[in-house]
Amino acid sequence: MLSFPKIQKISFLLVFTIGIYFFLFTPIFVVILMSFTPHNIASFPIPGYTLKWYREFWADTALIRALMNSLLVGVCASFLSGIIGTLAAIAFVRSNFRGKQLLGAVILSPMILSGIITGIALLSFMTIMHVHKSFLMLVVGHTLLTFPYVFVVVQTQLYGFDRSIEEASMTLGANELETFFYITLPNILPSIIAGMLFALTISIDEFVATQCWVTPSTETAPIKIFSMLRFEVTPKVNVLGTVIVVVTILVPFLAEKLIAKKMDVRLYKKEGK
Amino acid sequence: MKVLRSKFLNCILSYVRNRDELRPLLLISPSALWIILFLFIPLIIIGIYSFSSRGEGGSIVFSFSLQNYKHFWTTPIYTRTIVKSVIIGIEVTLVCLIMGYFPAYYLGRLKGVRRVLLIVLLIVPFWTSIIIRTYSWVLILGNQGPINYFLLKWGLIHEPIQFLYREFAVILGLVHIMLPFMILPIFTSIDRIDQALLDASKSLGAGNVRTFFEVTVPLSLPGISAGCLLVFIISVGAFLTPAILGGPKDMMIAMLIQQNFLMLFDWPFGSAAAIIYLVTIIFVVFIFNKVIGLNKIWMGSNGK
Repeated sequence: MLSFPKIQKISFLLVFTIGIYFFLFTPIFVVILMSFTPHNIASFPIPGYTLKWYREFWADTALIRALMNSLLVGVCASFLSGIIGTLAAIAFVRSNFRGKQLLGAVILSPMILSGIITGIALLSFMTIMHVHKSFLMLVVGHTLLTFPYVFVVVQTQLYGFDRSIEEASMTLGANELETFFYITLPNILPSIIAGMLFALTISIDEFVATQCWVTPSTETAPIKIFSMLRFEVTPKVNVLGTVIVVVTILVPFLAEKLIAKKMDVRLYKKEGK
Repeated sequence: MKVLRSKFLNCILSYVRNRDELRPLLLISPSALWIILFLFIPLIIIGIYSFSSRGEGGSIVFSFSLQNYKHFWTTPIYTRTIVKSVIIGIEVTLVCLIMGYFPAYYLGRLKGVRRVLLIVLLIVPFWTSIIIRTYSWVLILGNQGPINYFLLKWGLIHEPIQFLYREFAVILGLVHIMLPFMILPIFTSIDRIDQALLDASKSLGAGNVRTFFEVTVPLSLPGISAGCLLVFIISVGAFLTPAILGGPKDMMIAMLIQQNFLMLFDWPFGSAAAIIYLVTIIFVVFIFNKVIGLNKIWMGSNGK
């Protein structure tokens, strides 16, 4: 039988692909490795290992505060994004209206425009409206940057959603709101959570637009890292980097596990009733 | 109270239900409001700024003059930022295409668990801090980094090569960040290729290589064009990579905008630079649409 060229035979492809993955992951490993170096200036080969920078990192209150700021902004922004992104996705998948395509492109624009454009846009808005930079405006800005991701992810799941279960719920006497909260929402919840996690990681990582919106008291971790790169490059930067890498990788995994468990419990309870 | 509230809600709902056109508008209004209020109206304001001039202490004097644009086009340092951005954008796109096509092809041909695993692995760097991944190249490429260390040790060079703070480092850093944006769309379109077409090509006597170039590559064009457009547009607006890995000569347009807004407080000139960036992007998308057609990309990604 004829088929695709067998992958095992084309070793060039395999080697090339492994090379690309190596290329993608090396920088992450290097940062983690360099966070254990005893010297002030990172140099190779690494002469030994120490946890000194981790202790210093933990003692640096400004750094810890920046990290907490990042998490707080990220959580707030991802919740807001989760709500408005999901509502928009429902409207887009389930109805047609004039200017839909244009509006779709407009909603996605923060994803591809340079962060600096979004940054100066909201900054100009604040200037004209005489609104001061604040935590609230930071959340507003991060929502602007992240809700398109929720919008896209939820849309994908809604396209495959079987609407007959909603009809069933309505014929059984539930009103539209009940149907939404008991049928539609639990069914699309996984994609909403996935979208929100995407939003969270993007928010925690955002630098370019954020630099236009922060004040000294609302500095986020990336802002702190960037200024550290300018003025005091110590392996502490690598520690902060390692922490961010671990958080951005672990949070989605943990959250998924936890939420999946909770959902299971809830479903069982319902079935038991 | 609860009954009253639900009555009130039902009242609103029935009102909305009777006006089918109103419902999507209601659902879409928060996000539309967000985008229009915080992004689009401010962009119009930035457009107005760009024709104004700078007053004392960074204030803005509203007027109508083209002096900011004239200043931009007559000063080589400024003109170079946009030219450099476009050139780097093209270079990054080409390198990403060459480096990304084969892994995408490989992933498209894989089946089962290994394929899922490799795709998840592709998304992991996507989720990790861009600033950290960019800064890591400073450690890797630096004079005391591993690359120079091994080159010196093996006697290939006698003094460290200066990789950093030049265009090479900027392109490397950008390629590293943009690769998944190229691999994923191409993977999607290769994944959609009907096996029967490849079988047909081979039973008609074409070899593996010919089948690849005359069947697989043309059929993956939607993915290629989507990936290229995405990579190009995002690269042109890059800020962090040139700021961390580039030298003074590698200033890109996003850095010029940032400098004028946050450091020099020359908002009118910064606005002009922002408008020039936006027009460039819109122009490229327009040309792209004329030549290749954006519809083709949507066809590719929706399967119809």
